Amino acid sequence: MPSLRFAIRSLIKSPSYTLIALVTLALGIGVNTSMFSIVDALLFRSAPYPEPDNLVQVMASTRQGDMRNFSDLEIREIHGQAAAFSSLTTLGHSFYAMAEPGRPAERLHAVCFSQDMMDTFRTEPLIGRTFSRDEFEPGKNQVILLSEDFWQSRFGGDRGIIGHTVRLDGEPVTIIGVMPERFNYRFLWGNVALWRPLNFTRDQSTIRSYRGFTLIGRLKANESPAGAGAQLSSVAVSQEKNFPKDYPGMRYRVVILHEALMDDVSRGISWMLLGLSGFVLLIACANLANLQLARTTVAMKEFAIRAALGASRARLLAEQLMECIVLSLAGGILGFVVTLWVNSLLENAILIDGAHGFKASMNGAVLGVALLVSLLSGIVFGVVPAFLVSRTDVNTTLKQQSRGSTGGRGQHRMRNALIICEVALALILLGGAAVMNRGFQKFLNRETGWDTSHVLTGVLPMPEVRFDTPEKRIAFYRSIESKLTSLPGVEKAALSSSLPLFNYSSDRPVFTDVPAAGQSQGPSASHVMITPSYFAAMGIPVLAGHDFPPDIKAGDAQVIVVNEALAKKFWPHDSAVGKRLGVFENNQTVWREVIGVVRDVQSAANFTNGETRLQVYRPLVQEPWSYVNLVVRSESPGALADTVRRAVSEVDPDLPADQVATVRQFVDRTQHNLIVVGQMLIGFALLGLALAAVGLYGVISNLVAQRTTEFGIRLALGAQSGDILGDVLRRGLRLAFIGLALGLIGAYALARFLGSIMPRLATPDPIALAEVSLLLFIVTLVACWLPARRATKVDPMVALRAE
Amino acid sequence: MTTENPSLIKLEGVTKVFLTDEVETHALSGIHMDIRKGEYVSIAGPSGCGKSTLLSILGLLDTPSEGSYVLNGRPVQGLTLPERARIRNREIGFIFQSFNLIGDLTVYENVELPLTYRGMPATERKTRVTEALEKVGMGHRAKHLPSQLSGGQQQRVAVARALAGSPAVLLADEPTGNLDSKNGDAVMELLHSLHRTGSTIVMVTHDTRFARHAERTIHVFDGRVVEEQLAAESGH
Repeated sequence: MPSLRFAIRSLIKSPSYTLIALVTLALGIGVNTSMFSIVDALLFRSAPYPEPDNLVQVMASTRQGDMRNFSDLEIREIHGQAAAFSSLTTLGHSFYAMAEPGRPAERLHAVCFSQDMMDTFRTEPLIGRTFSRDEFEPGKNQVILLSEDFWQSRFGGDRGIIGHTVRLDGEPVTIIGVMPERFNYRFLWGNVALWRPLNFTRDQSTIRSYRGFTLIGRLKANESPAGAGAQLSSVAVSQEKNFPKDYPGMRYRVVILHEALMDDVSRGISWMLLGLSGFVLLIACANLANLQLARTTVAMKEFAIRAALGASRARLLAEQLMECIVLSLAGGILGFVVTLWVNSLLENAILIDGAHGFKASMNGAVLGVALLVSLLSGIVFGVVPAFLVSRTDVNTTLKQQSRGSTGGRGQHRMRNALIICEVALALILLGGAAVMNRGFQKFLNRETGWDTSHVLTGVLPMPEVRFDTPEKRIAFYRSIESKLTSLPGVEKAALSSSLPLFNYSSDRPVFTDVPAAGQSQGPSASHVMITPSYFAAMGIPVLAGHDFPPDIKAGDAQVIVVNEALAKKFWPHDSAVGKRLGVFENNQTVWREVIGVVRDVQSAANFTNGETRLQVYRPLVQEPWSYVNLVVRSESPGALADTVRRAVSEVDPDLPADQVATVRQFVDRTQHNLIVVGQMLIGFALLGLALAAVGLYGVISNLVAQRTTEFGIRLALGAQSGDILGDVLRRGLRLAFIGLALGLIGAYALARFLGSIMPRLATPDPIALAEVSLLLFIVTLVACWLPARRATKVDPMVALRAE
Repeated sequence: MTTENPSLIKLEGVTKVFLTDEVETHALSGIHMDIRKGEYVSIAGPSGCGKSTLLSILGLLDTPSEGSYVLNGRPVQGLTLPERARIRNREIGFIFQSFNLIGDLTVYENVELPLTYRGMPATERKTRVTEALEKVGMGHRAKHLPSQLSGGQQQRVAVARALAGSPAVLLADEPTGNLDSKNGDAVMELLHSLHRTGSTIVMVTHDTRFARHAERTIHVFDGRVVEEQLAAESGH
């Protein structure tokens, strides 16, 4: 392989070039391969169970939106038409307080599932056994399986734990087994500690809108997801016919499990990251193509001599390409090391349901992509210089070297184009990072309609087994609220069924005139059950009327407070106070009187929904939920977290407050991965900026070196230093400006794309784009100025020495 | 030689010493020289005798180690770099052995270049460039790139560039060195015709055949002027 020998010898002969090229390639290929391994893990990796392609999730959509969760009533109807499934498992997420003597109560995430789970997931326990058929009978589910993680962290991996009894929400349950780590599919379960047989409560079994359950199935061998979905169409038709207001345009679809678990936003972000890492690689390739071009130009005479001695065009092309491919493969090997490093950083950074455990793919496909990217990089940055060499006109080149003119225009065009590309790509990366990160800052500092800086929030899921009557729940609310209000430093305390951290939940159709049969159902409004001090605790101003009286009771008249948007929608020219609003609940219409209007509130942590929703507030005592959130208002809410936790456990030692955090802490925790994405974008952008700056510096330096004689001539003809400086700067900055202009268009398009998937976070931001353009301009100015200054130091005597 | 003309270039005791690795090399030693306006002088000598060093001092590309240099009545040996650049631009026209045209500028732009550095208005530049190109017979090639011209044509463009600024003196460094004899003769004829129209020309050459085209030949050897010879004496 003479070409290989020549390539290796040539690279050894130019150690600086080889080193720079290897580092550049390692970064470009490494970052790309890393992103591919992340995307592969997120989007393409199958669920970790046998025959994963047969594992599916049942989903549905109506004209009101997508349905990923169903109620027990709906699931029973689906089961009636589930011939395509060999098993169909219902999953429900729960939180239990686990208490053991001598240890503080701990709130645990549990998943409860129906009895076909072993048929669906086909995974045996690490130790112990799985649930028996009897244990799925109502009232007999006092058994749990632990996750291996939780078993290790809480029980130190004690194999004798089987048969041990613990208290969940005060109820004794027996540990019967530990599921292996491979069963713990975090995208499905989240950060789960234990699994338990599912027993529906009375409400869960009887309320059609109690949609708290996911349906995962295993298809029969000869069934397809589309076919299974089609088989459920009769269920959809029946549901729409019987409950037209609940299921307008109902359609079922069955989706392969790992595809169903990734939402469109995450999918979009994953592809975006892969695309932007591709930009880094393109900048790297453009850099190397420029360096290679510079080397080729210098060595053109050598190639001409080789051609004169009989080297064929193919051989010259092969020699040049071989050098680039050898370099890129070596860069690819180093890049793989970079991939491992970046992946380890990201695996530590990315959280699933607030916990570590994400593993980037490192399989044959990833290695194949690394190899392919390396080869392609070599070809991309090598092909143009190689082509130029192979086209060497021996006669002209040899004569040109002895003629008295400096290099011609054609030699620079390709390099100019590459520099323009580099600057444009760097600005797109910088623009994306700036838009996202500025958007994030703006998001945190924006007006939400409530006082996010003086509020501490937490979750109090009350076990329905213990709090099985409204009276018990109401009594507990009063105890908790009174205890929290009495704490030093607490200005107000309240409870609510949901908080505007993400979105208010429980959407229900609302109207002022009952819609006729067949008529469009009209808008839905979030229904939030609150205690009377909620608005004061949250800092939500009452704009008209008044809020709920402190002594409001369950049997009092049904009253509501609505938000401004709802009031304007239904009574645009009139006061809403005193008006009646209808709501469709549990298949019947209920009318309630509006007693107050409050300011609209926006979600503090939801980046994806930009709309102001219609909001209805009801007294918690009139619809006493078993899942409530606590709100504590204080001058320094962050300092109160432990106090609040202790206060709750003093009221009920078996009921720990969960997720007690300030709004900022909540946003940081829940949007952690998006913050990581923002940091990755900054990383890409800085890498792109550095590569582009080095590339521009290298090209301008090389041009200056090649034009030394020309500068000598110009100086001999009377040019001042300023003329030379200006000449070099003009050339470099002209390229930079063209690159900046193209980059701005690209950055704007990227911002539009980011805005389409995160409308509340990223929008085209002229200030952000102007800032990064200025930054890139300054960097390019420095990158041009340094070699330009060198050009002014040229001794005009070179004009004579050129003789 | 027209002795009634005022002195254009006057060197007195010019010395140039290069220091390399603590070794002093005396490139020029005590050069005295007086060149008058309208003269055509050649500086001749073998390779390494110091004639190119002498030319670079005359062209203000280099400074003497000792001695004085008066150009057009003005002492120039102690000028700053920008002042020397300004004088090079206005007073001196260079013709190089290897033409030294700028490859990515057209013939027109190459000739225009020194005028641009002078800050001359575009209309005047156009007139001067056109005149200069016509004078060397290259007006029809104004839009060509140097690579599209033969060596002889490139050197004629270089002469046009030197002429365009109406310098006080044309300094020609081996102007035929890279040309075949036919093109070399043509360039020498061009210089001769320029001299006839009043240009002062100082030409460095090691070729005695071309040196004899000048009115006066200054022979340099080992950094010293060893002989001055008038054209009449050499029989030209």
